Amino acid sequence: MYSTLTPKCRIVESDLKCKSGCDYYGNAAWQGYCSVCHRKKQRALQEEREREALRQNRDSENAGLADQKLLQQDKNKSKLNAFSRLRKLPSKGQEQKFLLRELYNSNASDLDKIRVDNQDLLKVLDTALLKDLQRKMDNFLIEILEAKDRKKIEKLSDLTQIFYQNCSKSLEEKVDQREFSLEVKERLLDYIEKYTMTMLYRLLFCPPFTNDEENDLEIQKRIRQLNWVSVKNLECKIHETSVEVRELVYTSMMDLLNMDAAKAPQEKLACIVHCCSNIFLLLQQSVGGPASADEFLPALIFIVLKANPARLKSNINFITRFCNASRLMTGESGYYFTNLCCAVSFIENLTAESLNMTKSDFNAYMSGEGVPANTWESALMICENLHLICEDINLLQELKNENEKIFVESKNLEIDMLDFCNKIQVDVIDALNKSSLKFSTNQKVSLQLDGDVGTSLRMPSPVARKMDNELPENHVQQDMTEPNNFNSTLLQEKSPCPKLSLSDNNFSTKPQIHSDSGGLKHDDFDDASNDLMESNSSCNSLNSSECTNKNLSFSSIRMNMISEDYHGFSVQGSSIPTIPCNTGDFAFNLNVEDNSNK
Amino acid sequence: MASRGTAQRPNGTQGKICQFKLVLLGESAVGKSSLVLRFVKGQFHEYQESTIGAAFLTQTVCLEETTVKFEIWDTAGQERYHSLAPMYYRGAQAAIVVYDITNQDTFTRATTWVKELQRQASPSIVIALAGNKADLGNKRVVEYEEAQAYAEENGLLFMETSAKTAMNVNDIFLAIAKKLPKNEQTGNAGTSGQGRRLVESEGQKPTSGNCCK
Ligand SMILES: Nc1nc2c(ncn2[C@@H]2O[C@H](COP(=O)(O)OP(=O)(O)O)[C@@H](O)[C@H]2O)c(=O)[nH]1
Ligand SMILES: [Mg+2]
Repeated sequence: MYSTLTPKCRIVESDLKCKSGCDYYGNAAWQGYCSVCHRKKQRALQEEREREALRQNRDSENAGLADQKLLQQDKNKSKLNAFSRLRKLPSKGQEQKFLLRELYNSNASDLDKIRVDNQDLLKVLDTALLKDLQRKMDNFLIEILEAKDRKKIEKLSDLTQIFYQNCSKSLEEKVDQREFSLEVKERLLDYIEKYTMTMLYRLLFCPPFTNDEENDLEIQKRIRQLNWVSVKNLECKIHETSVEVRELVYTSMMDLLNMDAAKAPQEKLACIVHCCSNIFLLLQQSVGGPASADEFLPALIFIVLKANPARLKSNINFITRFCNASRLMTGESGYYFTNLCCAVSFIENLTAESLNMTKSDFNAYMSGEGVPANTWESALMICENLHLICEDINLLQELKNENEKIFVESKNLEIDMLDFCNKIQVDVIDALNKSSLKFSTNQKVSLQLDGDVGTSLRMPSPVARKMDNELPENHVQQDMTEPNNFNSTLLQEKSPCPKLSLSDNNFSTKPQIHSDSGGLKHDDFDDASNDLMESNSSCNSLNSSECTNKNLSFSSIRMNMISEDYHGFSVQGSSIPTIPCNTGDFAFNLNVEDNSNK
Repeated sequence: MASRGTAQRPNGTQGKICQFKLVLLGESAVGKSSLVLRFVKGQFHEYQESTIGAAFLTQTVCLEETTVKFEIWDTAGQERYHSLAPMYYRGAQAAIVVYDITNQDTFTRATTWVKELQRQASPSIVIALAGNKADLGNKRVVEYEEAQAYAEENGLLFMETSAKTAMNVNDIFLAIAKKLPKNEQTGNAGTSGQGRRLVESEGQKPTSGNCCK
C-alpha cells in the first residue's frame, strides 16, 4: 500500500498502490489514494462537514452575535483547508462571498495577468462601466458558486451562456449609443469570459460529478492502442520526409498539448487555432497548393493520434460548455474546433473499414500482436537516429583531425627539440674544440652582474690573472677571428658575457638553464660582437698578446658599465672600438669609469 | 443570438451585415474547393502564396439592403468521413451540394446529401445544387434538365457552374444570399439556423466584382 513513511532504498510495488487497498496506484497528491478512492474519501469528508455545518448552524442560531464572530474566525482558519470551499455553511450568501474572496485570492496572479494583458482596453473605458461589469461578474460568480452544489453541469453551462448573452446585450446598447466600437465590445466580452472562467477553472474543469475523467482515460487508451496508425492508413498527404514539414508536425503537436495548460476556454481554443494553422502550413508545403478539408481533416486526425493530448475530452467539454457560444459556432476558431471534435469522434468510432484495411489486420494491430512494417514512428525513429549518427560521425571526424594535427605538431616539436639539442651540443663541442677555454672562476663574475658596484669593480683582476696564466695566446686569436661561430641561438641563450661564463658541462647538458640568465638583449650583444669583429680586424696586425689584453679590457669595461647601468650598454658600446687599439693597460678602465661617473 | 444593433452606414442609409454559415457538401474531386477558391480568391489553379487553406474562407456579398457575409465551411469528401458531416452542417444556414456533370455517381451521391440535409439539418436551411465542371460539356453525363427537375421537386436552388471559367460561381452564392432570411430572430447562437446580424465595422470591405452591385 502507498506509504508516506520513511524513505527506503527500494520501493516495492505494493508501496505505490492505493492506500485503500484497491488494485490501482496511489499518488502523493491524493494522499496516497488512487483517484477513485480519493474522491470517495473526499465525498465522505464533505458529507461529514456538511452534517457538522448543519449542527453549527443550529447552534449559531441560538447563540448571539459574539458566537458568530467566533464562527467567522473558525472559517478563516479553514481557509487553509483544501476542502473548505466545498463546505456548506449556514448563512448562504455570506458563505458564497467568502468563497468568492477565496477564489480571488487563489487566482490572484492569473487575474493580474489578464488585467495587464487588457490594460490598453481597460484604460480607455470609464470607471462606471467597469464597476458595473465587475458587479455583474461577481453576481455571476456567486450564482455559479450557489449552483455548483446541485452538480448539474448542463445547468452551470446554461448559466454561463446566459451570462455571456446578457453581457453582450448590455454592451451592445453601449455600442448603439456610440460609447465604443464593436471591436471593443468583442474584446470586453473576451475579457469577461477570461476573467470569470480563470476564477472558476478549478470548479468547472473536469468536475467530479461528471464522467469527464473516465472519458479522458478511455480516449487516451484508445489513442495509445492506435499508435500504429500511419499517414498511409489515413490517406493523409503529410510529406513526412521534408524537414520543414516535420518541424511543423512537431509544432502543431505542441500547440495541441499546450491546450491543457491554458485555463480560459478561449485560450484553449486559441491553442487549437494555432495547431490548425500550422497544419495548414505543413499541408501547403506537402500538397503544393492551398489545402482543403479533404487534406486537413486526415492531417488533424493524425496529429491528434500522435500527440495524444492530456485530458482531451475534459478540455473539449470545457470549451463546449463554457466558451462563449457565439465564438464556437462561427468563425475560423469555430471551424477548427468542429474539426477537432470530428477528429475525436472519428478516432472513437474508427473501424477497419475506415482505414481501408482488413478486419484481421486491424485486430492484430489493435491487440498489439502485429506491427505494421512502415509506421510513422519507425520511419521517424530511423531518421532521427540516422541524423544523430551522422552528427556523431562528423564530430568524431573533427576530433580525429584535431588529434592528428596535435600528434604531428608534437612529433615536429620533438624533432625540433632533438635537433636543437644536437645543434647545441655540436656547437658547444665545436666552440670548445676551437678554444679549450676554461674560465672556471669567471662564472662567479657573471652571476654577480646584478650585484653592487663595489664587488664588480674588483672583478677584472682575477680574469686578467687567469688569462695571463692559463690561456695559450693562439687559441684566443683563432676564436676572435671567427666570430660567426656564435650562432644566433647560442647568443640568445647565453648569459651577457658568454665567453666568460662558458663552461662546457653546464652548457651541453642543460641548455634551458642559460636562457634564464640572459640579462642582455640579443641586439645588444650583436652590437658588441660586431664591435668585437671590427676591433678584431683593426688589430689584426697587432701581436697576439695585445689582442688578448684588448679583449680582456673590453670585458672588464663592460662589467663595470653593466653593473652601473644595463640599458646603456649599446649606446656606450659605440665608443668601445677605438679603445683597445691604443690601450692595453688597465688604466683605461679607470678613465672610462670616471667618464661615466661624471 | 441575433444581435439587435444597427449602425449608420457611411452613406447614411441604415445597413446591416448578416453573417451566414455555409457548408460545402459533395463527393471528392467534384470541385468543391475549386468553387470556393474561385468565389473568394478569384483563383483557379494559379494559387498565390497567401492562399494557405481553402477549408475555411469568408466572403461578403452586397445586396441592396444588406450585406451578407458568408462563412464557407469545406467538408472532407472522402467516404470514410461522411458520418461526421452532421457536425459540420449543424447550425449552418446554407449548404451547396456539388456534383460533377461528367460523373453520374457524384449526382447520385448529391441526392443522398440533399435527403440527409432535409432530414437532419436545420429546417430553414437554404440548399443549392451545383452541377460543376460545366465547361466540360462534351463529357457531360448528367443532363441539365434532369438535375433541374430534381431541384424543383425538392425546392433547391440549382445552377450549373464552372470553377474553371468562373461561370455562375458568383451567381449561385448571390442567389443563396438573396434567398436567406435576413429578418432578425432571437434564439441561441448558430443553432437557430438564422443569420446573425452584426453591425458593419469599418475594417470589412465587401469584395468588388459582379457580386457587389
Ligand atoms: N474542367 C474543370 N475542372 C475542374 C472544375 N472544378 C474543379 N476541377 C478540377 O477537379 C479536380 C478536383 O477539384 P477539387 O476542387 O479538389 O474538388 P473537391 O475534392 O471537391 O474539393 C481538380 O483537378 C480541379 O482542377 C471545373 O469547373 N472545370
Ligand atoms: Mg476539396
